Order: sequence, then structure tokens, then C-alpha cells
Amino acid sequence: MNQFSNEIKGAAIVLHQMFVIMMVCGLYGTGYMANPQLMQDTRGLRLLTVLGFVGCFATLAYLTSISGRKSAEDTTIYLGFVDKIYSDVQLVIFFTFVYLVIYMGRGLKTLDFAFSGLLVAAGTVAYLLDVVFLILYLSIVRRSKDNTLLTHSLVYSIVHSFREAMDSKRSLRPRTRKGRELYAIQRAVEAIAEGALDTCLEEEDFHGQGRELARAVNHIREGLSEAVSDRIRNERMKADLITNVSHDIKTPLTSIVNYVDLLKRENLENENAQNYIRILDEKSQRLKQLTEDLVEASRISSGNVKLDIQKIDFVELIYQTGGEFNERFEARDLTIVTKLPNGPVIVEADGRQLYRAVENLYTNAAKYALERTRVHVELEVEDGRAVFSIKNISKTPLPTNLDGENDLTERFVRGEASRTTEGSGLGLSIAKSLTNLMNGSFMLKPDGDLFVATISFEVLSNN
Amino acid sequence: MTVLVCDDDKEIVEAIEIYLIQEGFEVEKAYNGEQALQKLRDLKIDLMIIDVMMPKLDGIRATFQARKTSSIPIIILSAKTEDTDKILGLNVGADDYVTKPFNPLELVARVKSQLRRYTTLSSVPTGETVYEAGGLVINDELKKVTVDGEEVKLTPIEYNILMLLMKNKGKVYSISQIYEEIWNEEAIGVDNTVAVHIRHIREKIEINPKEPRYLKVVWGVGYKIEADS
Repeated sequence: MNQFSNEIKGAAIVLHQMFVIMMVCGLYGTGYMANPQLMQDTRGLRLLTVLGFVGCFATLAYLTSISGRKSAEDTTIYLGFVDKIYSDVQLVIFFTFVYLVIYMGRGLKTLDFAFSGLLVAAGTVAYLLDVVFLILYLSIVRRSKDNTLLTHSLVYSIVHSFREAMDSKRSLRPRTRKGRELYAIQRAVEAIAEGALDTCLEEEDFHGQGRELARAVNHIREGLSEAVSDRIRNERMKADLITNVSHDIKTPLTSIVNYVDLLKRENLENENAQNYIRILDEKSQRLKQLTEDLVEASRISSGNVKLDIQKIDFVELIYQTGGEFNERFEARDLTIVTKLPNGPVIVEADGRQLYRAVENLYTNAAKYALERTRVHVELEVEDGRAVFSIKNISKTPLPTNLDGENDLTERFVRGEASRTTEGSGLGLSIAKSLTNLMNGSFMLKPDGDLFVATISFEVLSNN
Repeated sequence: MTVLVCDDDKEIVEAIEIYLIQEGFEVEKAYNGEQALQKLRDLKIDLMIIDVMMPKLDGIRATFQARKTSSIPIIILSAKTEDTDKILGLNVGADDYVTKPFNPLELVARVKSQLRRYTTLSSVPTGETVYEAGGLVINDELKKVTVDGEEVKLTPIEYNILMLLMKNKGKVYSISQIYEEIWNEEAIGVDNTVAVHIRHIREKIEINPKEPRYLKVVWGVGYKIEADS
């Protein structure tokens, strides 16, 4: 370990000062001898000047490199007492001192001293100035190494605290105990309002009215925290209940589906019987779809879905989805009109889940669009977001509630009041929950008979 | 061929029995995991269909036990639809997983497919022009595609797409890559064409095109043939 002990530093400082005195005395002497009346040999003095010059800069360079460090291997910067003073204050002190020294030394010229006496005076002034200069200079060096040269200054601190005061509306720090307590309560209430339900006030720290207030705040927090955990538990229980009930429904349903199918193969002559079987078949299929959607919707809305978020191409996904659906659209005489960017549009999502969301919108269009109309599918990049939209003309008027806000994404709400056709009314709810889970946004904008659904995600790159 | 059907719901077992007998299979019935294992030991069984949630010994444990002594195809039947349940079932050694309520015809198709695979797979001719992925085999010389030994008729474009994916198993091809490879044209303003062809291929080679075993969809990326299906 290459240690930089205080002795080494002290020695370097003393050496530096010696060289400074040598340089100044040499210079002063040379100047003094330059007087034509004296005509002395100044070579010795000049040598002294050069030696002092070289020496003082060499030692200064060494001091610069070791200042603030304890060893060559140690990269930590140790700040001393002087460094605690703001750098701009240091500068002011330094220049005041320099001014004072010069002010006091202004009479030096007129002093009737011998040459040796003048040299001592010059050396003393040089020594004094150098001490102060070193203190300031090395402090600046340490602070630069520590990267706090500019931030540790009075001006910066004032500007900073002023800005902070402007930022937080609390421009004044409370001075009284009551004020401080009230302030603490205010902060706790704000934290609770933002959802930090583990915020707790120590009632012993408050006095009088403040204690009553703190106790009340704690009560509110406890109540709220209980209510929230109750709700989470209830959501879970509800999801579990739905899943379990659905499993129990599926077993008898399997038999119903199978035996209805077997009945169909029995070649019944009776036309009524055939009709009844057809109805049974349709309804049992519908029940099957409903139970599956129900499990799906409850699982997604309780957040119980594992996401595999990857970078995927939204354009590719729409082409893929289009390929899955074109015959279902053709079967109802619907034409898909797609308008997509030429290049890929990369978003971060779980491809399978995003497909399920988009699939639900396509299914919705395939079911509820008016026959022989066009379904418009578009993907546009707007303000860094990939906006996917699907528009179709609904065959029945779209429901709106009293506010005019559409509630189609609510579970079990379908475009038709009578629930006779296929569909469980869960499709849009599932699509919305899935999109939101992946940090995308889902919107329905029905306009008269025009049904518009959009899914948008932040774009990673578009090239 | 004897199929062992095991479910604690008698009516489900009987319905499956009717379908299997119609297709010329012989059926043995069991109503819990222990009975199933007993029959597996005592009789010559070619394939087992087993429910998960059953009294005494559930289907997962029974499958795990059965796998210690037998290599016959096992199809798990379950009301649970979650991926984790499927993975668990396949991990303990089942060959296929069918969720309730199932389409009886699909179940029969899966039974046949598993049996064909089990009995004929060893006799698949191998050569430089033969590509296979599980039960899917393409003989490029004869331009013949078979799934579990049964021939599938593909159009030339479908065949070329499937061949491209087969030759590069595990690699995901995007729609424009497939377009450029098959049509030898730059893919400008591609449309649903490729996706539609892919779906047609899936409908021909998969039992359930929505849950493909061979030609997988990687949503938002492209299509691939699983490297080890």
C-alpha cells in the first residue's frame, strides 16, 4: 500500500512553501539588483528563482494528486474541515485576505530597510499568501475530485432551496411544535391518500389536539387497510368460487353434450324430436362457451394471468388474426378492409394474450356486424402509440346508458338485449381486462350504429 | 385394440364407450385410479383415457404410477383448463390432454392418432428426403405428407410452406419471410394470404386447429414447427 500519511503531506507542503519563498526572494532580489546603480552579478539570484519556480510547481502537482486521498489504491475522497465551507465563501475570504496583505504591504516600497531586510519582508508576504492560497487551492482540488465543487456553494444552496420551496407548495418550514406536528400529520394523510397504507403515526410524539388528530388518522388508516385487504380477499374468493363452480358444472355438461350428440345419431323419425334435439344441442354448446368464458373472465379480472411480455410486431399479429377469421367474415358476407403500415410496429406485450384481445374484437365484429357491410381494420402510429382500431356497422342499435357512456365492456352486456344468439357477453370485458393487464389501453367509441373499438400500445420503434 | 376408460362419472364413461365401440374398439371401464391401475396390470390395454379429479387415486397420480411399468399412450381428461394443469399432466407422462366438456369426435380422433403413432411410428422410413416432427412426416421425394400414418392432401403452396418450416424446425418465420421464400417476390403490402394458407394447413394436419401440436403460431412474430414435438 502506498500510504499518503499526514507526515508526507506536511513535508510536501513545507517543501512547497520553501520553494515559493525561494522563487519570490529570487525574483525580488533580481529586480532589486536590476537597478543600474547597483550593477551586481545576479546569476545566483536568477538560479534561485528558476529552482524555486520549478520546485514549487513540482510540489504543487504532487500535492494536487494526493490531496484528499489516504493511499494510492484508495479512490475515496476524504474532505476536511475547510471543505465544509461553501466554495464561493472560501473564494471571498481568500480575495479579502489577499487584498488585506497587499493593502498592508503597500508601504513596503518606502521602507528604508537594508536589502536583507527587504528580502525577509518579501518572503514573509509570499509565505502568508501561499499558506492561504494552498488552503483554498487544495480544498478546490478535493471538492473537484469529489464532484461537489459547484453544488457545495452558497449560491447553489440558495437557488436549490428556493427552487425546492417553489416545487413543493410548502414554502415555509413550520417553526413551532404545533406547526411541526400538524405538518407531520398532513404528510401522513397525504401518504395514506396515495395508497401507502402502512403509514403509522406514533401517538406519543404528539401533544394535545395533535395527539387526538394522530389517533384519528391511525384509525382511518386501519379501517381503510382492512377494507382493502378484505376486498382483495373477496375478489380472490369470488374468482376461486367461479372457477370451482365452473369445474363442477363442466362434468354434468360433458354428459349433456355427449348424450345430445348420441341422440342426434339415433335417426329419430319424429320431426318435433329432431327440432328439440337441435335446440338442446345449441343451448348446451352455448352453456359450454359460457362456462369457459366465465372462468376466463374471472381469472383475468382477478389478475390471475401469467404474462410473457416480449417485443412483438403488432402488424404481423393483425395479419395473423386476419388469416384466422377471413372465412368467418366471408360466411356472413362481410369484407375486411385492412389499412396497416408497411413496416413492422414493435410493441411490448404478451403475443398470445394480445391475440386473445384482438380475437375477441374480430369475433365481436363477425357476430354483430350487419351482413354485406365492410369491417375496417386499421393500425396507425400516433404520438408514439400504436393504435389498432376495428370499425363495423352493428346490425342492431348499440346500447347506451343514461349518461350516454357505453357500458359494453361491463360483463354480460351485449349489443342485443335479447340473449338468443351465440356469445356470452364476456368477450369485450375479457379483451379490455387483458389489454389493461399488459399496460395497453382499450376503448369503445360507439357512434350511432358504428361500433369502434381501439387497442393502443406504446411503440418501441417504428422502422 | 382395447381402450381403458377411467372416470368417476359413470355416464361419461359409458358415452365414451359408445363412441369407441362404434369405431371398432374394445372398452374396459374403471371408476377410480386404483381400479384403472388394477386393470392395467391384469389385462392387455392399448390406450388409457383417465380423468383427473377422482376419488381414491386421482388421474395425475395414477398416470405417474402407470408410467413406471407401461408405455402405452395415456390421454388425460380434465375439467381444468389452465396451462399449469396441462403442463403437469404432460409432465407426469401423459401423451395428450383433453379438456371437459370435450367434443366426442375429437376425443376419438385423438385416440386413433395416439394409437397410430404408437404402433406405426417405428416403421417410418427414414432417408434424406424424409422430414418428421412427432407424428408429422413429409416424404419430399413422393411429395407425401402423413400425420400419424394417415395421408393428408395439401395444395402445392401449402406443401411448400409446410416444407419450408419443416426444413427449419424451431425457427420462427414471419409472414413476409414466408412470402419471399415461397413466392420469390419482395413482400410489399402483403395481406392475409399467408395467414390463410397457414390456417388451412393447420386445419388439415391438426386434430384441433385452435390448439396446434405441430404448426405453432407465435403471435406477433410468425409461425414455426416445434423443434421436438
